[in-house]
Amino acid sequence: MIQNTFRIYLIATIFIVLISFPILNDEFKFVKDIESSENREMTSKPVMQFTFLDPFPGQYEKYYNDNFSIRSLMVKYFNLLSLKVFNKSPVPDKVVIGKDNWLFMAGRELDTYQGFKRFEETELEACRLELEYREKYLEERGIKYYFMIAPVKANIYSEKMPNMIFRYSEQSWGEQLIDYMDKNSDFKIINVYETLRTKKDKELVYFMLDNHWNQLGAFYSAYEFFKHVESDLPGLSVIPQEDYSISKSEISTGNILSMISKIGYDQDYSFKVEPKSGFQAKDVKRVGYPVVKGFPYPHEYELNKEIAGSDKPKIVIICDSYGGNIFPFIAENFSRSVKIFDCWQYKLNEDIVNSEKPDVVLVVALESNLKALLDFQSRLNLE
Amino acid sequence: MLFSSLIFLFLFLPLSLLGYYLIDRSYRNYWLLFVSLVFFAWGGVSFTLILLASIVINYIAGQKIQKHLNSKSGYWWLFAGVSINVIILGVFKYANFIINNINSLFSQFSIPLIPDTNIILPIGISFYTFHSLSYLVDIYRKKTTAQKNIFDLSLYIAMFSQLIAGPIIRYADVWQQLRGRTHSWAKFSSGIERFVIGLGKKVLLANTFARVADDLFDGNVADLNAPTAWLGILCYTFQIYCDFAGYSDMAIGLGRMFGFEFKENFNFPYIARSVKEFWRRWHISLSTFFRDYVYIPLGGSRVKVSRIYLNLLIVFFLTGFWHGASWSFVVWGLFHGLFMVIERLGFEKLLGKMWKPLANLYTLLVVMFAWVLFRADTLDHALTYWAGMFDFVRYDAQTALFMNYMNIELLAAFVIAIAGSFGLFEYGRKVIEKIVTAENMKARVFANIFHVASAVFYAAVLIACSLYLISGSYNPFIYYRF
Repeated sequence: MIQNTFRIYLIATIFIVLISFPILNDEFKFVKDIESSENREMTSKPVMQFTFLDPFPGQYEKYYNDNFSIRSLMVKYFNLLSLKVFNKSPVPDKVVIGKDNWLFMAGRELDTYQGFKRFEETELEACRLELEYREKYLEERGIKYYFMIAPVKANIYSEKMPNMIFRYSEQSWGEQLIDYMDKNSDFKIINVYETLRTKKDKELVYFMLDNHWNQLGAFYSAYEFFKHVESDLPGLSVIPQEDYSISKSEISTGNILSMISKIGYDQDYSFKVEPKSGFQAKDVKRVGYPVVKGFPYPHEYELNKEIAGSDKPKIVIICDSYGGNIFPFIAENFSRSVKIFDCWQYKLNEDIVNSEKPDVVLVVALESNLKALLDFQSRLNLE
Repeated sequence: MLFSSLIFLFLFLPLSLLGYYLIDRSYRNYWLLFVSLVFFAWGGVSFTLILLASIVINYIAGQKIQKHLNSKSGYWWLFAGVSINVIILGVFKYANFIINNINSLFSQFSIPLIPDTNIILPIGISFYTFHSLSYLVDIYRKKTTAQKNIFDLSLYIAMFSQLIAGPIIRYADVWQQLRGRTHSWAKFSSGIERFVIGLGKKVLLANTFARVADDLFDGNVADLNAPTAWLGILCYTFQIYCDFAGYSDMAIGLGRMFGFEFKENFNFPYIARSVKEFWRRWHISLSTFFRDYVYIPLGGSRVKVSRIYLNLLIVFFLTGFWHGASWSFVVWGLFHGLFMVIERLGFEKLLGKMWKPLANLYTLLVVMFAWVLFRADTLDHALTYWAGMFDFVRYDAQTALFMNYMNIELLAAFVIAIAGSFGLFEYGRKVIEKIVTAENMKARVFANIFHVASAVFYAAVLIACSLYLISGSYNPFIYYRF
């Protein structure tokens, strides 16, 4: 042991200051915290119940961790340390650091890209039965059913994924299902992969710092849908693509960027894509369809647009957040459009469909969520 | 409560230290006992009753053994005390395991099964039971006398620094410190250094290795091939060392902050050149406990050769079983016991003549294969993992998984852990110590720079650990929209 008075006092003083700092800072606010980038509610202070004390320590510790002095600032520095020193995602189970300032989602989106946990043959068959069941159910009511798979960003921009991320299979979950349906069913899924891969050579079709397709990617995907629907609904006169104006602007936000405390990256692009004469479809009052229990964004569950005085067909879109950017382009070609964000369940939503009596039902599902279709397996088995 | 938690570092520890050094010396043990009980209750308030009952039972048993030390009654009081401790440990730690095994036997013969007990394992019970056992046996062996003050005995059994993860402290080693320990800034500061190093081992190294090891061991091990399986076990080998040795460092460091001196629990176990040597360096307080309280009473090495082998296997069976109520722990213990026997049969001599790195490699391989048994949930799980370690065929699919884990952080952790485990930092420390204690002007200048750099280093480790701990509670919600 090295004995030196200067060293002894220096180490003891620094240690005492550091471990006391959070308590003192809570009282005297020497350092102010920054705004939290976690989009969640922090734990509130638990009440001690003397008749049953066992849960209290755990609850209090959760509260303490969530409300730790300068917590958000420290998270930001940890994220910086990870990114700049280790060149590693600070939240590897949520974010992948790509090449050339691209960020990608980890988790299921990464599994989809790498080809982990692909569909089993029986699962593909279950999906086929479910989709055909839905098509038949709606056909009996005079409604056409379409299913569009929104590709995971990494499957379109695979060259921007880090070299260390290898792939088990070149075929993603969505392509696997499309391929299976093409070979085994008359029901064809709308395939936007090739269109997006071709278009990306000329312009960005996904955000760099967000996992969604941008307005341009959504626009091109909407026109893939129109290719299918035009032949089925002759009365539908789709506005030509040339009638839209496109402008590009710089942005510095994105949902993936938020997950790493909005540090290290600040450049992305957004597109303004709108008819040269302006959008005709306007937001109208919601019907107030009951929101799925536990859905975290109830205000986004239902969104409706109408073109006043139009005799165009009607559509119901069941989607996830990828429906957000595509909705305006689709709504522009229908007299009434109802968008339902059904908590990533992609159900048939019979009540809504029977109430709206649309001509078309379109599902827009992110490919990493496709296994939600398997939740209906039990119903099919029963029938 | 864990040492490596924000609430311990930034609330419990500063308040404990503040209270301890503010109050009168004569009340310090009471304060330390109070905070220790709060610390323990944090892991399960109801379990505190078991701890308190254990303390009272051992206090009474200790008094009775002391009183009847020279008569047969002393032996029976020892027997009663040891039995109660073993029964408490047996009920809370092994009841579920025993019932499950009996039930699997009953199910073969269609005998009605015994209902589940749903007993939860109280934290630290293995450690405080062993503290109590050593207390009772040492009184009986006249190595120490019974503690008259129940609060001091409570502090020995329940002191938070070694309560949940050791080391196992012998009463004979600390009884004098309970009343007459010294405090100094030098001791306090060295405690800080030791604590911070332990914290760094746990948070910065062990947790980094754990992320990979947990992923690979908890996933489908049947999919693993050799490179990935070896990566997993290599990570676990360093994880368990950095985790456990880190905890012991923190316990020793905390002890010093409160005036205690505890014995070392690890001494670079991965440089051992035989399994026997490994056990002299790994979890020293446990291996010496079994040596003194089981192996030697069984006859030790002073019995016929076949009995020595049996004694070794008994000791290692108990060592495995102490670690957890599962057959894989038992097999882990016996696996080590088997190699102890093999070495004693003559292989030890061969190892002595062998090129030292080769002997070290042999020991590491035995230890690593054994760690698979230790980490796996079941024997089947371990055997499948072992098979993966020899699977050099399936390569393509596994490359993706293997490469996912490769990053600068993990590689840096490996470099530091290897250097630390093989004593390179210790060697560097000794060299610097020699320089800074030299009596010349240059040395004094260098010493001052070194002391400042050391302080900055310890502060940086503490801050880095805090950042990592904060990040553990960072849970951004994936918001599927703009």
